[in-house]
Amino acid sequence: MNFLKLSTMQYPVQEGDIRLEYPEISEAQTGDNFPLPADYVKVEQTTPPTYVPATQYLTQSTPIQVGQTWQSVWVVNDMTAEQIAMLAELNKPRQRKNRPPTTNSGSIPNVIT
Amino acid sequence: MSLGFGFGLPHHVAILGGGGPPPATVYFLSLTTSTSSGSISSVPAPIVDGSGNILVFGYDTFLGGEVIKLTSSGAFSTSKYFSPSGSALAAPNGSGGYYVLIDTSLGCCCCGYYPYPSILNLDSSFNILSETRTNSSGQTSVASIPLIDSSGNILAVVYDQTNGYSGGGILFKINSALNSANYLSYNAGNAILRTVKDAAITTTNQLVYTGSYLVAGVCCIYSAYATVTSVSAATPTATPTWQVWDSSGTVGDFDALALDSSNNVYVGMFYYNTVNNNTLVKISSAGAVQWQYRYVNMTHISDIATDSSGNVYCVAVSITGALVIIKVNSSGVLQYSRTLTPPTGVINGYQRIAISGSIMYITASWANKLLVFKVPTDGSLTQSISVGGFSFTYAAGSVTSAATTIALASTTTPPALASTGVPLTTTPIAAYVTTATTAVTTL
Repeated sequence: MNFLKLSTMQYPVQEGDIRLEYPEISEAQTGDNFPLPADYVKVEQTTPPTYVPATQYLTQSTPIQVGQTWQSVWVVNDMTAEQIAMLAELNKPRQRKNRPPTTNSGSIPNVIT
Repeated sequence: MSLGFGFGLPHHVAILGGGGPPPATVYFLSLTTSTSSGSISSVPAPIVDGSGNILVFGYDTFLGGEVIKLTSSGAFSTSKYFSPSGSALAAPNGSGGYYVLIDTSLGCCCCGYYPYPSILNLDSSFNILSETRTNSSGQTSVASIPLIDSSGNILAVVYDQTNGYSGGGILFKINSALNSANYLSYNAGNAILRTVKDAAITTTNQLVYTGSYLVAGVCCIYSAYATVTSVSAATPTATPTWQVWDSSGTVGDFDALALDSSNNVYVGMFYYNTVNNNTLVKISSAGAVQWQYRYVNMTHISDIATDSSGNVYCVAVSITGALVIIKVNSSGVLQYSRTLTPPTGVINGYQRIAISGSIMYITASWANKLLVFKVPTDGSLTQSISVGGFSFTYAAGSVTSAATTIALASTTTPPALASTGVPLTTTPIAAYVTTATTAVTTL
C-alpha cells in the first residue's frame, strides 16, 4: 500500500516509514490491519497508462483527492539518451554473474606477497 | 554461531565464526579503488565473519577476481586477487577471474576460472592451499557463487559454450573430495535448460534454482520461459520436486533468488524491455505461487536477501542511476524504499545485499570503485554521507508497488536433468600474483 502524509504532502510513504515515526505499531499489523495514523491517507492506485518500456518510464506525481479518496497520478517520462544507454546495459541478458574481463593491455601490477 | 554459507540458510545470510561478539553497530559507506587501471564491481553478496569483518568479492576488470577484507568499521584490511604468475590478465584469450565463497565446512573457497572452471581452497589470509579445476575443452567461466550441500558437495553455475545452449549457464556439481564433477543439464526433445541464473539450498537439502528453458524447436535466445525449479540437492538429476514457469509466453528469466527460514522462495523476474521487468514473486516451499508485486521507480531487481523475521530486501538502481533498496514483508507489503544517490554519474555493476541481524550490507560499483554500504534494516539513518571528498545522499525513495498477475504455471512432474561427466585435474597452474587495493572509508 502507498500512503500520503497530509501535513507535508510527502508521497509515497510506506508502512515501514510510518513505524519509524510510530514505533508502537508492530510489524504484525500490516496490510488491511495496519493502524493508519490520522495524518496519513491511503492512495488508491489508478490504472497506469501505457508506455514504451524501452524509451519511457513511469513516475507518480502528488496524488489528488477525488471525492473521499486520494488517487495516484501517473506521469509518462521520456528517457534521455544516457538513460536509454544505461537501461540497455542493465537489460542485457545476464547469463553469468561474473563478467569476463575485457582484453586490457597493461603493465604487471604491483606485487605484495 | 557457526553456519555454513549456502547450506541450511536463507540465501545471502552470512554469519561465520564460533560465537564471537556481534558485529559493531557502525554504519558506513566505503569505497575501494583498484591499484590497477581496472574497475571493480561486486559479484556475490558480501559476507560478515564473527568479528564483524566484511569479506567482499570484487571483480576487477583488469586483475580478475579479488577478495577484499574490510574491518567492521569499513576500513580496508587486506585483499588478494588471483591471476597466473608472470602476466597481467591480458591473456590472448582475455579470460580469467575468480570470485569467492566462504563456508565453514570447506573453509575459505574461491570459485572461478582461468581458463577452466576451478576451485581454490584458501586459508584465512587468502593464501592458496589447493586447487582443483576442470580439464575439458569447452568450459569457460564459473558463473555463480557455489553452494555447499549437506554432504559437502559443491554446486555452482557454469557458463559453458559446449554443454550449455549458446553459452547458457548450467549446473556444475563437484564432490566434496574435489575429484569428481558433473555437468547437469537436460534435453527433453528440444527443450534444453538454457540458462541458470541463481541457486540456493534449503534446510531440507533441496536445490532451488532460477533460469529459463527453451521452447521446443525454438532457437531464439528470447524464446525462453522463465523457470524456478526445486530438486533434491543430493540427486539433482532426479525428477524435480516442483517447477514454476511463466506460461504467459513472455520471454525472459527468473533471475535473483533468495530463501527465507521456512524455505519460501523469492525470485525476481527479468524481462527485457517489459513493464514486468522487476516483478517480485513469492513461491512456497511446496511450489505454490503466493503473490506477485511489481515496482515503479526502480529497474529490475539485482539481488534479494531475507532476514530472520521473513522480511525481504531487494536492491536495484533507479532510472536516474541511484542505488535503490526496498523492504517488503512476507505478505508482500512494501515497507519502505530508500535511495543512495552518488554525487555524479550512476551506480552500476551488480548490486548485492546480505543481511546480518538488523544490519544490511550492500555492494555496488560507482566510478570504477567498489562500494560497500552498511545501514540498519529498519530504514533509519537517512543522511548525507561524505566519503573521501565524495558526497552521497541516503534518503527516502519514491518506489510504489502494485500487485500483478503474470500467468505462472506449476508442475510437479518437470523434466529431470541429464548428467555429463567432467574430467578434472588437481595440477595447479602457475603461482598467483597478488596485490592489495587502496580504500577510502568513512563512518
